[in-house]
Amino acid sequence: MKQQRITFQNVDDLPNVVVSLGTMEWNHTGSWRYLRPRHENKVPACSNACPAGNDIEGFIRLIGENRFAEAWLKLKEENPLTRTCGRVCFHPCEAGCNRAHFDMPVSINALERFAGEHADRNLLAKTARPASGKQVAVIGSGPAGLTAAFYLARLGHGVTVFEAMAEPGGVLRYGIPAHRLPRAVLDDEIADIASMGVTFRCGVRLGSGGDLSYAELVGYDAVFVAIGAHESRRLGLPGEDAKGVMSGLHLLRLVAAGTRPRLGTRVAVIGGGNTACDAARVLLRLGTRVGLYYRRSRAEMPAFKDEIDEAIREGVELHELCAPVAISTNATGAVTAIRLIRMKLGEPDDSGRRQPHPIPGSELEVPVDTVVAAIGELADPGALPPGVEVTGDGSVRVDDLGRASVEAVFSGGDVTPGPRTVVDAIAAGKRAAVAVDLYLAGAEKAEAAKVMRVGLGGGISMSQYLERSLAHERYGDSEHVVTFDELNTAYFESQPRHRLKRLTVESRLSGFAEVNAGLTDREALVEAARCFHCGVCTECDNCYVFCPDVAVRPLGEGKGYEIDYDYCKGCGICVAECPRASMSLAGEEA
Amino acid sequence: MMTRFREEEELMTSGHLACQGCGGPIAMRLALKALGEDTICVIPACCWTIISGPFPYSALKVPIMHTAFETAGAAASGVRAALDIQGRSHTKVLAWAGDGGTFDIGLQSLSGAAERNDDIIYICYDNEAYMNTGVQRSSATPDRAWTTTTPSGHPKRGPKKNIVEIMAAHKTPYVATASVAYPEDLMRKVRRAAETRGTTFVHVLSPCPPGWRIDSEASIRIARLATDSKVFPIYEVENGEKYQINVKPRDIPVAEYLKAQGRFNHLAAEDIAEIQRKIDHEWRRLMQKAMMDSYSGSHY
Repeated sequence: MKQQRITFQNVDDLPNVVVSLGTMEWNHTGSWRYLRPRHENKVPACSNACPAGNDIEGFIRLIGENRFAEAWLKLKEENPLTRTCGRVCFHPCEAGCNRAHFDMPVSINALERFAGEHADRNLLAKTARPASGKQVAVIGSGPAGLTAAFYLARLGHGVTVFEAMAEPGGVLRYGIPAHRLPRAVLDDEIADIASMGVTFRCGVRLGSGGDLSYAELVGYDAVFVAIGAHESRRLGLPGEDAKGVMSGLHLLRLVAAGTRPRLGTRVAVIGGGNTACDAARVLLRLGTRVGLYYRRSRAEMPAFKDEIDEAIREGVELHELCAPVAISTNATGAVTAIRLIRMKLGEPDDSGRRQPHPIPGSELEVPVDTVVAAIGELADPGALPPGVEVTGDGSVRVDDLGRASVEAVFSGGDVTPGPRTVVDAIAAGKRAAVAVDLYLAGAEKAEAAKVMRVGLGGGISMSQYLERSLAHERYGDSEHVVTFDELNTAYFESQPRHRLKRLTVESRLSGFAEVNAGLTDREALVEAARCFHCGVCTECDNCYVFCPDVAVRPLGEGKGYEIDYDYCKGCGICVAECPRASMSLAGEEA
Repeated sequence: MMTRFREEEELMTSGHLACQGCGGPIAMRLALKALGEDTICVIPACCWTIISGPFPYSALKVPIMHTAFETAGAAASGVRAALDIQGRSHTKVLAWAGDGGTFDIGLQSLSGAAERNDDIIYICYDNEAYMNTGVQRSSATPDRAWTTTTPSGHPKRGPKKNIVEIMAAHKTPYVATASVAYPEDLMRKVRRAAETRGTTFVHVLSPCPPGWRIDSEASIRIARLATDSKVFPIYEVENGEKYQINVKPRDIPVAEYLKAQGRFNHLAAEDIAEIQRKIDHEWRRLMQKAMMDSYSGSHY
């Protein structure tokens, strides 16, 4: 019962000294208010930048609380390939991290890997929905296929994954080398997915000329095509079919399968993408000298910066502004040299990169034993379901949720247009799982799309889709992405970013051991403490401590706060002193 | 999260009459949380005379004795003596006064209490002018600030009176500065003052949004800027001798503090440069004091 006004009926009621008889709580100072503060979580810039819409602030908070397995499970809600992404992701989250404007971004990628090292598969089984009785075929077991399979199983559907190669993993097993992604890690990750009840049928190639045609896929209610892009673009040069010329993908596939091809001692790699860098670093480990030839300059290389830096550190000789013109062969038809021409950069092309032009008369010849071409990959048209619409370069045309032009067919990953990265493939797999689920339920996507989205970056949240509710979800219905200017950095102290430890170059080149080291528990806790938790309340109590009107009250640990609008005068101190912009101030309605 | 803050009793209620964003109730709430309910307040004329509410109400759950402007020190000494005669030495006596009642009108009674070393806690919440009567200058008003009695054509000339040095010169057992921007430090100092026998004095910087011409939401930020720009260093003095600086300033130019407030709008670049020179000088003097050895004997 709040204090009421005191009224004296007659003189005798008055106390004989001037003394207070009650508090001021009868005085509802909320009527003074023009601005209304409220607690409102917003979207952290990292999650907005993540194609998979990961709950980054959330898993880092759990690490900070020493709850490592729960941190892993939190990641697994939005990305079934946590241990993989913690190693190979190009981490756009760190580029988005607001801490970059303060000292250095949080080492999110290393923390993700750390969480993956505390995986507890028993926690996963509890997350599955009851069986729907529907069956889905997933074609291809790369990151898109594995992700779709995981979430479809979680959504209660029966899933069979068809894989052309002998073992599942796709580009993760046959593309990305073991020095970046150890096979045991990948096997563990796939075992998580199998533990959800997913069936894998390996060594089965779909399509015309394959082991099984799409028409023979009977008993499935939907098909998700995620076959990747495993055909290499040809160089289109004289001598291309000589002995000693191979594609980067072919080389990586051979080495991944345990074969050690004869290469000679000097190898030229053509290209500037991740396949070229991976191939070059693998070749060093096979004991050859490697020259990497790229027609534009280092700044235009599409490979991840870290991969280029490490390739050069390991001894790859990078030759910028060099394009091949011919491959020379000897009498037996074997490669002897590669002829190159020097280039210069002109105006930017459609992709925004500066267009290279040959410099007349600048040709040179480099003696080599092997030429590895890695100038881009294409989808295999024969492996696509009949009738699906494709784009100019043979990719499957899909809508924003991964629906192809044919009924019940969905597609995603490198076989569809868009950025070709592991995390983009994971995002596509997740989107498709949702699209398939909606299709099987005969539901419309508009409402689901609103519920799922994370910020403005296109990432979607599976946990929000599963909850089918905005209430108590990560950021409510906020589309507001927190910027650095909105933070109150007076409450943060400078703290250096964790420096990733790596193997020495000598020990790297003696085999395929993983190059980057993980974090220790202590390092992870220190790094987790660097997170600003932009836009998400951590119950720091600033709003409560600084309120001049005792109008902000904590509701108990983990329950947040209530604001008593009977007394809140709307001064705005709570909002201004919130370190992480998880409060908002808006005008009172008249 | 501040340790124990949630558990400590709330001794100030909502519904009080302070303006939006006032530093006064923030300071009072923190101080009373630190002192607990076994406390009697003595409040001379100041904003808090109004803030606590009219008869028959009070926004505090501890007794308040309202007294005349010049008498906080003397009245608190009297309350102390009366409590001691009653055998209630455990009850804390808090004299709570503004800068007018401390720096100007009540200085003699404060000096008297400190010279007698009566066991009281004296907290001055300093908003740097007579605010509730309409922003008239006091001897706590900073150099060159606007007030209604020092309009911008004729701003105040001369430094703010250094009340901490005055109190330290009494060889008072504990003197400290604190700020609403650093609640943990403020509460620690009030506890320390309560635990120390004799007269203790805490000087709290308490922004006044209407008088300083700032937005109500800026109170804490401005108070923090005052410390970060070394305008208002956070330190404590034991026995008038041992100086210790408690908050490391972030070394922000004073211009940033001045330009954030309407009361300094009229300042020219030369004014700001001169203020900066004085602040740097005062800071060096404070650093020197903090490095000096203190007298090892007893003052009493």
